[in-house]
Amino acid sequence: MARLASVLLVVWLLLGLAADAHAQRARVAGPPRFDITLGAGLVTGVALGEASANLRSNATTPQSYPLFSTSTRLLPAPVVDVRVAGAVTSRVAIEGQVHFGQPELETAISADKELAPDVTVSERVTETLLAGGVRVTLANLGRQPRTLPYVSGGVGVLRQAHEEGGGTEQSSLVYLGGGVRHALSVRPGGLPRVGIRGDVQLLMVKGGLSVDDKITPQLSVTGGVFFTF
Amino acid sequence: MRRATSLVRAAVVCLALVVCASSAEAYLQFIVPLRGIPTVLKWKRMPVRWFATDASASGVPAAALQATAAHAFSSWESVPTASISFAYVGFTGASPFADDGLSVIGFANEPDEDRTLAATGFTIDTLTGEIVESDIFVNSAFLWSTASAGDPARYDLESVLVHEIGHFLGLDHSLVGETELLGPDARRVLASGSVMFPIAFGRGNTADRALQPDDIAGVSSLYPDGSFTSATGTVRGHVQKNGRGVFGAHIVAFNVQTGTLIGGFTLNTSGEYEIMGLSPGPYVIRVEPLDDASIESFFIASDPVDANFSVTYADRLIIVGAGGVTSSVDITVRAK
Repeated sequence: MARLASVLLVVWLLLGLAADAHAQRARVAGPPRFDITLGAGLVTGVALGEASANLRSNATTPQSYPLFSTSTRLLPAPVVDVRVAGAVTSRVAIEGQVHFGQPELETAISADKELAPDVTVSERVTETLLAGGVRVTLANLGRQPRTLPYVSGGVGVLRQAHEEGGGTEQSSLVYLGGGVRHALSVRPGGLPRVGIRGDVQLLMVKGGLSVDDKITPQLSVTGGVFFTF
Repeated sequence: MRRATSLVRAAVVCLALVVCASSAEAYLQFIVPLRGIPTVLKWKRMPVRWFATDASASGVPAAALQATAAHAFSSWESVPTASISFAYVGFTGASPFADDGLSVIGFANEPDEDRTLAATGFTIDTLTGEIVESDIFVNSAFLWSTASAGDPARYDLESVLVHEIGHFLGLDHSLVGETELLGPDARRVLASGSVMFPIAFGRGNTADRALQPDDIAGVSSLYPDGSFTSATGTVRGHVQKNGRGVFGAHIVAFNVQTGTLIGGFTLNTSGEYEIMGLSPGPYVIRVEPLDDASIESFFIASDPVDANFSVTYADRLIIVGAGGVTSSVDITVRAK
């Protein structure tokens, strides 16, 4: 049976389908309707690109003449993370996510033509992520029936508001991730009531603060407490 | 009648090393005191009508001069955030600097002006600051080219005319550039980031045919169209040394996302500056002394320009929002 479940899992993952696995039915009596996760974590920093203050050189075929160069990045920052999910099946849930953080936007200035010392300047950005997607609970691969891994994916927007009315950058993103939910308290029939959750997401962000408008990857690592209703 | 009694020649500016006499008190725009009130010089009626002289220069017939000037005018006319237009009227036998009510562009042979490639003069209404006539002379003592790819033995006529038409519109010089000293009274441009830099590129260089962000911000702030003010922002602040304002410090705002450079100056003894026309985004602010051109290219001799300080950056990243003005960005510089 265990081998059958594994084979089913592989097939199911490949197809990306949300079929119920019979092997789980003995442990999970039915899906909770909603769950909410209150958490916190860290979003890794990201290099946003390099730019030079290029003048045009005095040559018949002008070349770039950098007055100075800059390298800009968003520093790692703690975030508050809230997720709300509604179950579609015992394994599949539609999940919405909001996270909030205030990372530093930092620009290092170097190679000044007039030999000004290198300096680093920064400002604080208020970052809000709004995303929605699918969370798919995998088969119980561990020995503890209360611990269930999952994968997730979806799309969203990242709004980065500058200080002092400096406007808001908005970018689109796609995320892929996964994690583990562990039930601390279980309802009769095996449904979790309260639990803890650890989650990792790869955020592929396009636009926004990026200097060169390329897709910038960021990693989000969060943990929290979830409640089901 | 008002015009007849109040016309004065207000300013002559040149794209050259030495003859850069300007009454401007501000970077980017000509501002003159009229009846004690600082007044921006600009055209107030569009389209601005212009004539070309029927004089030719070595290798450049009058028709080629007219066609090149028309192309240079169109470069400024096509700035999307500025509202300006020109109308070519025809050829004239009048000389460029005759005070005749005609705005004339043409060649004049001035071999004594051996560092002056071209110059622009104005006639203004001293009650309103309205430019009523502007003339551009191109010194035919130099060799000129209208070849599309330039000529390594000649100066590019279109590049120089684009610069002079900037003055024709009321723009002063920009200091977004770097030079090296060739002698006690001569400099060579190493690089520039503005067509309005006061020293021309060398022979064969056609780069100044294309307006730079600094030029576009300047002309747009002088002749803003409907969206300019709401779509761009302003950074303002002070430059100080030893607790006192610095006059004549050059500030550049560099957008780390778009790579654009736009410059400005502190314009009073409080060290105040303001740079308009910045596209929204994060900016690095850099202050440097006025040491890449003669001070007279930008200010009058009596202005207390302080060039004795080191290049300094603002200590924070400055975010400019659309239609907004930043809080004061104050920068303290130190003497060299």
